[in-house]
Amino acid sequence: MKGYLGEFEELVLLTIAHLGDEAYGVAILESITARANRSLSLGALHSTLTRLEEKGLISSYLGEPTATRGGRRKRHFELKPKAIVSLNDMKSLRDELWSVSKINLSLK
Amino acid sequence: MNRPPQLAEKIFTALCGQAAVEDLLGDLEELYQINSAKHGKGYAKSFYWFQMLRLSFSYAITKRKKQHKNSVPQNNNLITMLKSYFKISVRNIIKQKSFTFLSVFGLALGMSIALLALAMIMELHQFDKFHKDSAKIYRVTTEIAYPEKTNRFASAPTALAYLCDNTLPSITEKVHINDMFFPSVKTIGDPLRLSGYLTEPSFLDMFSFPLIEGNKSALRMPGKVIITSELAEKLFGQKPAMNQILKTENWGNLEVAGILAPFPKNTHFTFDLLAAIPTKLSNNQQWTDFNGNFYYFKSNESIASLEKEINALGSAGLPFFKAQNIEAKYRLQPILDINPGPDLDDEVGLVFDKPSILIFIGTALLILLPSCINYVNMAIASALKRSKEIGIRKVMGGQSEQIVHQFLLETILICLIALGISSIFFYFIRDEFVAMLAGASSLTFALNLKLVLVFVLFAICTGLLTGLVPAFFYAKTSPIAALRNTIGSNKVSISGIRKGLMIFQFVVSLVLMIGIGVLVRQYQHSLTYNLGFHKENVLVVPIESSQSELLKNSFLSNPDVKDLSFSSSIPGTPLSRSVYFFSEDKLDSVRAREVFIDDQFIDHMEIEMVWGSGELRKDHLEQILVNQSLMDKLNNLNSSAKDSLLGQFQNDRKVQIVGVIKDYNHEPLNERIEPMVMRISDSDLNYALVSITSQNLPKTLATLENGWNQLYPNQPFKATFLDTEIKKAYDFFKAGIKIFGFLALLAVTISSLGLLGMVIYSTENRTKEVAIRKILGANGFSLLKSLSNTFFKMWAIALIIAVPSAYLFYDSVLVSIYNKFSGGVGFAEILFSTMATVSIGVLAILWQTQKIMKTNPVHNLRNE
Repeated sequence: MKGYLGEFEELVLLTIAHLGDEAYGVAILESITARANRSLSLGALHSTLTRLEEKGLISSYLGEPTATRGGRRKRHFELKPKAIVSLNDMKSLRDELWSVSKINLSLK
Repeated sequence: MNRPPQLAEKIFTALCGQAAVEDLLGDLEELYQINSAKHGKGYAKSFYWFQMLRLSFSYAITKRKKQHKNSVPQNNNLITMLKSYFKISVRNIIKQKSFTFLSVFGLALGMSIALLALAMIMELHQFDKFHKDSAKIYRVTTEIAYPEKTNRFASAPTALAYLCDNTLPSITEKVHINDMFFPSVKTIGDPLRLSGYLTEPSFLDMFSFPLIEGNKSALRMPGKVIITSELAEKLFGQKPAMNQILKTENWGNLEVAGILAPFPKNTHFTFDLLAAIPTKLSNNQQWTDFNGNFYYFKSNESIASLEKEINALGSAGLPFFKAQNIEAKYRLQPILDINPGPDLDDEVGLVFDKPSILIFIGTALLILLPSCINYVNMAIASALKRSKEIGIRKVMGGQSEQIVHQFLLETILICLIALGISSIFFYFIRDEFVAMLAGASSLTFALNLKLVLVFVLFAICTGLLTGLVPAFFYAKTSPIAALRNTIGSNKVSISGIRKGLMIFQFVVSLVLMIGIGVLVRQYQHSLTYNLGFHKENVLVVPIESSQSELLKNSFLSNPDVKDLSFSSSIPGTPLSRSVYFFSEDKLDSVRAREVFIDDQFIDHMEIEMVWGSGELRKDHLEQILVNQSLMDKLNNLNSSAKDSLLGQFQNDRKVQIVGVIKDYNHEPLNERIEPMVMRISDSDLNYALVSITSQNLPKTLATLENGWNQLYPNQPFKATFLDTEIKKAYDFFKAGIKIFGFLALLAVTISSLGLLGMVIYSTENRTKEVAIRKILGANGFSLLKSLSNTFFKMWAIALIIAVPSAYLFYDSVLVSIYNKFSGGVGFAEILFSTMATVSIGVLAILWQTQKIMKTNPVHNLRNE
């Protein structure tokens, strides 16, 4: 398996995918806090976003300013094709490991 | 409106510095709004602080800071920015047409000589590179320490060279060269003086001079020579040159045994022919007398160890040097370091030494520098026109660096345009330069890609250095001063240094213009001067001595031929032969020019005699004529019984002086009248001098040619007029006039440009003053007077300096090397050059003052 995706990175990427056009700092933060139920600082989130951008998995662009942000612009994030490949790799690896598991992992 | 904590926001922006964090601040504020709605202001505030701190030290900020630092502001906008600089530069250049034209022209003139210097240096570094393994070829040079000084010779003792041959194992190839080989070949007219090397076959192995015909072994056989293809063509034309015999005056008959293919000119070797080293020279195991002997070799060893070995061998010869109270040391010189190289004594071939090259570069810079300074002056002078642009740039947030970049780019652009024009000048002056510089014919100055790149680089560097001053001047101005049009207005007066520089430029242009006048006058003077012999309507026909009797009859049978005589050289042109002439008791001697004539010469040429008849007869003693200056210089002359004086030549040959000629200029006027002897001879007559009186010149020439062709059908008849030949001897004046003309053009143009810059500067700074004067009722003339006052004062000073220095320079330096000169620096030259420079200046002043005088004073005062 090529490029290694961390657990949190995977989470962020999937959240961006979920949010689509509305994927910007606060929205991602809120979404992760709500779903994964963990407290997360803006600094940690942006550090991860920066690293993902460095790895070439996501790209960003500046949007329109809004009043709630004191007239400042949002930075929107988008998945790049490479991210989709990586996510698929991760998923298939998981599925494979699930399917070959000798212990019954079913919760039922 | 509910705002997040301002202090936290400020701290955050301060911590982030220049990094782009707009989106992060937005995120922080949005979170704050959400939190304050959900949990209240207090919680939101503390949460904001916490988030801010976490964010400040996160990787995201570190990365963004780094990104900012590494990118020139707005990375992807760099090209756009350069484009905009370029666009603004082009617009400014087009807008200020006169300014651009003047600065481009001035810089182009200034750069032209520098281009020449650059091309020359580039070319000199290619010298001798075409030889195989040229980096491994060295020559032995000798350093002789006299008690008072040390001289370094390019030559080396032959004894040392033979020791090296036999004992140094690392030497793979070697060659001995002796350059004392100057055969002169007998031809029609003056004998052809050649120069060559005495050497060995390995010369053609070591240096890449390929043979087209013959074999290098000819360099082992005495009496055989290998000649260059140029010489072959000169001597034999299209006819085969192989196995032809060269009849020489001093080396006997030489047989052509090989012809070299045309080879590149960029080598320090200059020779027409090569011959074997005679055994008496090759056995010469001399240490101390080594002039003209050179030793080249090829070796793989390092220069330091070779030098050590050679000095060890050289110690064998030290006793010989010690005997003469001198010391000798040997050093090696790689062949690639010969051009441009150190200035050595007894140099072989053609060498441009580093000191002279440096002087040349210095001259080039001396011409370039004023034009650059003038550009700076003018650029600053036009500040007022540009101040609005700069003010607005600064108000819109333009950084100082950006203004610096803008001006640098503009100057570089101007320099590049100037380079284009300068290359045209370069193209024209290079031929003149080649013609006037001794040995420059081996420089081709051909343009190649490398040279073009160097030129462009040079223009860019000039632009950068020149542009720095105006760029920083503009960058420093405050936007308020710029918009109020008050840049530089606190510096109305022109500083002393600038005045001094201006005066210096005036002086140089005045001196050069006076120089042109002097040269033109001197040239005319030389042509009309009475040389002391008859030169009108005399034809000069180059002949061979043996032909003289037959020709005499043939020519004299023509009714148009009035008179005729023969001589070994054309009177009025340079003489090359000289002999030592002794008094009879051999106690005194003088070096005298030697001319061979026939018995008619003195009468025919109407040369005045001081004493004696001028008739030479063959007596038991050879009868000769001498001139007055020989009589003045030679003492101890005894008179003989037959009412004549006795003297003798080097070979104890006694002669009888039967006449004294009144001093006349047998040589061009730039040579002094030297002691001269005239001898009668049948075998050394190279020219027939034929006086003709003809109504129909072409017909006379045709009949003469007919007569010639009947006698010598294989030789072409070449007749010229004596005054044309004499005129040719003064062609160097034309070169001088051209050089002075070009330098004067440079100096005048550059100084006028500088003047214009200063006029613009001072008038633009005095617009308000002029406006007030006008309101108070000054008329045009008084305004002009007040504006041009400073400049007239500067001219006056320049004139006071220039005239005496020009007078001294031409009268004592130029004219002292000249035999006779009529007027020296005349009033006409001074008047003309002053008028020329002053009128150019007045035009410049009028042009500028006109501009501000025409404007309505209200416009100039309104903004106050």
